[in-house]
Amino acid sequence: MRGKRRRREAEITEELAGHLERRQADLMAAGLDAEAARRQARLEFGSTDNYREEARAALGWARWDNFRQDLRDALRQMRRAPGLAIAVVLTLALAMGANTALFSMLYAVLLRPLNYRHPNRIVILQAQLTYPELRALQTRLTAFQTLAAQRWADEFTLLDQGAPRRISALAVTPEFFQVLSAAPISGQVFTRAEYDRGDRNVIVLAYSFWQRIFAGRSEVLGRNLNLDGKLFRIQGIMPRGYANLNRSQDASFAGWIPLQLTPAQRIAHNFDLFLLGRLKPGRKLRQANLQTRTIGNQPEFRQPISKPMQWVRYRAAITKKYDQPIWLLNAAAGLMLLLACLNIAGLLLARNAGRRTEIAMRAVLGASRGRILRQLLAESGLLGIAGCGLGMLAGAWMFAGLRAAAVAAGLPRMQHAGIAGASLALSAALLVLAILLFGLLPAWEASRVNLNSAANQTRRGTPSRSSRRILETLVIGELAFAVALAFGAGLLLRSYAQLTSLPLGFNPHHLLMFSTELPSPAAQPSTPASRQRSDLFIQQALQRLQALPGVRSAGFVELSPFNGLIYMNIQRRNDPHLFHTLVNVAGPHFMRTLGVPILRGRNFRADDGFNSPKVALVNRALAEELWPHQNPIGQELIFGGSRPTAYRVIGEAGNFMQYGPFWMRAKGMKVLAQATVYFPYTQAHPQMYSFLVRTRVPPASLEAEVRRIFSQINPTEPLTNFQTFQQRFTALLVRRRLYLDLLAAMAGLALILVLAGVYGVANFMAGARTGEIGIRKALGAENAAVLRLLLWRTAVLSLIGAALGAGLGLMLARLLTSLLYGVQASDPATLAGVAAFALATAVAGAWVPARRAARLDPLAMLRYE
Amino acid sequence: MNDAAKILPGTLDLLILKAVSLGPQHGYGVLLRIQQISRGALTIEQGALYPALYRLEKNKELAAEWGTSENNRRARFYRLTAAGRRRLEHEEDSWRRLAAAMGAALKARPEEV
Repeated sequence: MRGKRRRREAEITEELAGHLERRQADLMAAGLDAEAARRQARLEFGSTDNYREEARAALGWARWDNFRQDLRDALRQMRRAPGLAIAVVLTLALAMGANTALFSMLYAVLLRPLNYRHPNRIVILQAQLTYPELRALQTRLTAFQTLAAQRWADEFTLLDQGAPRRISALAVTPEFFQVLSAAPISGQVFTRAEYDRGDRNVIVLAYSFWQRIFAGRSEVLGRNLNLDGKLFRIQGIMPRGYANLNRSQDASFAGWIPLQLTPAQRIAHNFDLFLLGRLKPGRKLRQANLQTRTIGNQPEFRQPISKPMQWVRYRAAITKKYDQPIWLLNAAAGLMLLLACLNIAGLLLARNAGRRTEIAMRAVLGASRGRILRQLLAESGLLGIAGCGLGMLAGAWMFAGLRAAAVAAGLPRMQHAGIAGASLALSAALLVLAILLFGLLPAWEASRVNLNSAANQTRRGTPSRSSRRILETLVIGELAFAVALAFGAGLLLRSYAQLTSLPLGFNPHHLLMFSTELPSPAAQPSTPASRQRSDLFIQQALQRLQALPGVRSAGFVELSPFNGLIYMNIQRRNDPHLFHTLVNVAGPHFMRTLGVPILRGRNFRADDGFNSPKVALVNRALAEELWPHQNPIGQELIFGGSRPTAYRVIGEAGNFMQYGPFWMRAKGMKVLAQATVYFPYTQAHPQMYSFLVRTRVPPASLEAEVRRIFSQINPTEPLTNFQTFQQRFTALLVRRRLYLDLLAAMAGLALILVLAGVYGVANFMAGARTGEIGIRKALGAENAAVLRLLLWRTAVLSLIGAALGAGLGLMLARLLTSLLYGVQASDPATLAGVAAFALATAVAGAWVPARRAARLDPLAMLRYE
Repeated sequence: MNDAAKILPGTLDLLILKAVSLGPQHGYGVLLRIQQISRGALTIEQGALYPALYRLEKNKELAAEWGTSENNRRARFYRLTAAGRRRLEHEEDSWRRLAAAMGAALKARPEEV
């Protein structure tokens, strides 16, 4: 093919040469001398090169030829200005990388179909049901192929596999496996027949648990697991990917057990059941919801039911609370990519303007406008491909980091996620978009040079008015995107700052917390023996903790801060009104250890025994609610469902934050001052045992000692939630922190891009106005005046950009309402702050070139002209 | 040659086909023959001839082969193919109709309207 082509080229050369010779011969015959005839022949023929080009086009070769030529030229240009090429490629790679990584996360968490057969038919009812309600739905819903009931994860202590540890299992009815349409990789799931026979002490293991505890050995089938002293036979093992999807990194998740309901749990007051179903093929979610609502109006159901019962797709139910932040992050990454494209467009435009003379010369020499356009596009295309290629690599690398961070932050479905194939398609689409954005505009602009004026220009780099206007528009756009991004980051930052600076009401430093339980018999309520054992355990534990070197004080409480809440109804004496109140059980050292003051009255004492008068502490919030403007000390409150007992209030304690502020706010509760009553552990039997240790030394250093104490006094139960308060608080905010970090990183990058972009444009503009500045200075303008003149323009453009960005930011901020705390999505102070910061960044970018231009010697500048 | 008319766009192909139909010719010969048969009234840019020739050749309306010219030099000779002859007839036909219509139109007088 190439040989044939070369021959044809040679033929064309020979043919054209023959033509010129014959013409020359004819002209000589007409009387011209040889040299004059040769010149005349050439003149008459016209531009040989041009016609060769046309001839190639006629033969259909031109496209490929030009393409290769364009690539060669583009590479040469890149070698000539490597700084520019590197800047463009790096900018693009960063922006593309961020987009690839974040879109892969979006795909993995929100879009990727679940790993089950026809996952769209699996739906879950957004309501907790009582047993009668559940039965009513199960028997009457017809839109479903299968319906299964499930309870919140049950917790157990695993006793026979090394040190005791807490595990969780989902209690499900046998239909659960049909709903998921899942077969075990080994053994069997439990069937309806076995279930009805009462064969309930079996467990189907989750893959990850099987791998971790049994190293994937298959002979575990048929063996027993000792959970809380009860034996569960291992009956099957589910494939990888079948886990408790609600929590991605639930290392404690062991598997599925048959749902067992005691008669007490079958009554209508106990609602902690969920329904999971597989729709019949072709049935719509809407039909299921209609049916459910009709059935929900019948007398078995609580009247009125708190919220309309609604089925949602399983996937959506799992990822609902991640929707907003993940879309937000992707929107931010898109903005950053746009910003990067504008920035690159600015660089290329300025560079092309510097090449106007060269481009004009090409045009004069006969290159068509399309040809020049294609050539310039080849350059941006090459840069784009290089940038995007690097961007995909960067994306894979960023995604690995992002995945680790997301898994640690508990985002579901990220554990085994990979770069989404779809994200590669997206990258390709973005590449085309990017090249169009930053390539076409400068190329088109450069290709419309005015031949006469440009070719006659001697000064390099004078921009046409239109390219100046485009550059200025780019500055506006960059500012707008950066301000919108920074606004989002600013809002998250302020929320985070609000959350971390909320007054806790206690001293958060040097505070160690952990929980445990007592083995089952002692946990049974209120026999004298179990009470005694419980009291003894607490006293022993506190005594030994107190005796540890480095410990300032140790206290007992049923539910430690940020670990749980129990609400109960209490009453005043002679008042039927029920007060929904937080209830906790504490020991005498709890308040002191936590650092919460007793405001009035006294604390619990050692002599508040089981047989002494019943006493209680209230916090200030409860005191104000129950006895406003009165002294709460000595008042009586009534508590205890079936056997109401009167407790005398002996003291009023300060308020403190008992639980995560977000959660409290979401439930419509007061964050800081939740009404709470405390009972002494000697008079109210705790279900859970939490200890607080205030240390003199770094709290983590005591871990081994503390664990040793409990392995001696309570060897069969593990310590759970072993954390310093700081760790617990950080863990609570870890997802918010991740979103904040990602958005802040992008906003920071955006501001750097603005700085670089404005610098480039200002540098170029200052160069273009050299002559004007020279004249002004020659006429007596001060350096400062020239500096002002140059900066003023940038400031005005930036202000316009910032104003547009404010509008855009306000629109996008609606995406992050669910992440905000203590700050509105339209917070004017944040907006003004980030806009001012972006403006300052832009002016700083323009400062250096402007000052350089202002200081130049006017004579040298005019000579330059 | 200064008062020679520039040829109308699109008519170069027709002229080349006509010139070649009178007997195989090399490029320079085609040029001379066009001048000759138009009695020097039409002139074409010399360089523009070759892209046109190659285009016609690519369309299989002309065929080319190397031969020897009158002064014993190697030259590429073009001759009409069957497709070329058909195209020529078609173009001649439409040109005549156009010329007649243009002629009639330009001869029109006020009383004929």
